[in-house]
Parts: sequence; C-alpha cells; structure tokens
Amino acid sequence: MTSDPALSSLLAVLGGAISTVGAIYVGWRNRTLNHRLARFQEQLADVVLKRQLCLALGSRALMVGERAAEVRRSLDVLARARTKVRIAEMEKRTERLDRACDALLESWTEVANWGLASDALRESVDRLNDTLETLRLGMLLTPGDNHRHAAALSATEDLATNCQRACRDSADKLVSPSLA
Amino acid sequence: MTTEKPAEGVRILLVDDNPEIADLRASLLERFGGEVIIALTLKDAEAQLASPAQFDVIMLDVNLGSGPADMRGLALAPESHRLRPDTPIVAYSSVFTESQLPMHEHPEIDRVLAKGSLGLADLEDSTRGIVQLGREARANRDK
Repeated sequence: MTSDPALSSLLAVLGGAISTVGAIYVGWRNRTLNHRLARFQEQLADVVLKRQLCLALGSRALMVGERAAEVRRSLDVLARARTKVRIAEMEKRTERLDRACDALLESWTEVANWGLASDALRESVDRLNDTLETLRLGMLLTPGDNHRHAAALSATEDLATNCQRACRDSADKLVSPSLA
Repeated sequence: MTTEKPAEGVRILLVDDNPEIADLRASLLERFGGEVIIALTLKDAEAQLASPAQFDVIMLDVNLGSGPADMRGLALAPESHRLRPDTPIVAYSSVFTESQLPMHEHPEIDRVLAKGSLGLADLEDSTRGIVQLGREARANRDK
C-alpha cells in the first residue's frame, strides 16, 4: 500500500488502462475467434455438401449398374417365357433402368454445377453415358438381339462401378478445413 | 471417314467421333425418314459443310475431340451456322446438359440432347422430332 496520493492515482489510472486494454483485447480475440469459427463452419459445411454430392452421384451410378444387371439377368430368365410376358417384364425392368439413369443425370448436373466435375469424373460419366446410349439405340433397333444387349448391359455394370469409384476418389480429395 | 447411307428423305449431317453410336443413331434416324451422312472427325464435318451438299439438320456431338472436356464439336456450331444459316443445329453430349453449356454464346443451336438420359420411348420421340425439324427447315427454305 502506498501513501503517496499521486502515485495512488497513477496506479489507479494505470490499472484502469490495463483493464480497458485487456477488455478490448478479449473482445477483439473473441470476435476473431468467432469469425474464424464461423468461417470454419462455413468451409466445413461446404466440404460436407460437396462430398455428399460426389457420393450421391456414386451411389446413383451404382444403382444404374444394379438396374442394368437386373435387365441382363432377365434377358436369360425370360428367354423361355411367352412373348407377351417377356415384353411386359422387360419393359418394367427397362423403365427401372431409365429412372436410375434420370437420377444419375440429375445428380451429375448438380456435381457439374458445383464445379466438382474433375477430368476423371467427366471421363467416367462420358463412357457410362456413351454405353447407355449404345444400349438404348440397340434395344430400339434390334429388340431381339439379346446377345448384343447383354454385352452392352455388362459393360454398363462395369462402367457404373468405375464411375462410383471415381466419385469416391473425388470425394476423398475434398480436404476438410482446419481451425489452426 | 465419311459414310453416306442410301435413303430418301430429310438430309442430316451427323457429326460424332464414336462410330458405333453414329451408326446406330443414323439407323434410327433413317427409320423415321432421315438420310444420314456421318462425319467421324472434325475435318470430315468441315469438308461436308464446305461442300455443295444440302443438309436439313446438322447434329453435333459436343464432345468431339480428345476428351470429354473437349468441346470442339460445340465450337463447330458457329461455322456451321455461317455456312448454312437456314439449317437447324442439334447439339448432343454425354457429359454436358443444356444448363452446363454456354448456350448464350451459341444462339445458333436449336436443340440440346443429353446422351444416355432418355427412355426408349423418349429416344424415339426425340429422333422423330429431329427429322421433323429438318422437314420444317426444308419446307421453309423451299418457300
């Protein structure tokens, strides 16, 4: 304790100043941390969304492959069925494949619109869609050529698996942000 | 290589570097009354466009070239339009949908199709639509 009033006042002023500076610093630090945290959350949400888009495309590609496998299996199973039954069943399975393709296209559009279409991904979607186009055109032009359709369907299954792999690789390349 | 398919009808220049798809698509177009001339390379397409041959529709694969990101097919559209201003252009692609293509830079393109995305009935309808487009273009030109 000091008895010098001038020194006391000086210490009081100094104490006040330190406390003010401290409060300003804490405020600034909080604001900076909050800002960094907000930015981190934003970046994290962005990466999570982009990963989800890539993975969704991959699962839709797999669905196309599964539907193609269904159609291919039904070619064998229905080969001995009556024509009417065969046509009805094939139509049903082909429609399921069509719906899977529509979902793939929708997902691909989103991936491309978000700027996530890497060359590898584009290449695999390109090859898959080319094969689907060959399949559809073949089914329209030579509906009874099961051997040809089976080959195109089998290629679709393989390419769909490749596409799913490319999607997973794209998702893995998206690096999560860090707070450091 | 350019392959001319003998048939009567709407004359379609089909530019696609995938011979299997080009052949199948040509067969389907012919089923609806198209007479298809296939150009498998950009050079063939340019030669056809510069020739005196008459076309009612030009179909361009957008991704003509070295890879799926290559849009040389699309780049052919303005030249096609300059040489054949009355001929409608249909662009199609396996990796670009209409919303992803710089359509504002290509007002000359009349229609965009996505490969592999149509059901069988829709594929038939869109093919019939292309032949019809050519028929209308020819009728307008002959007026």
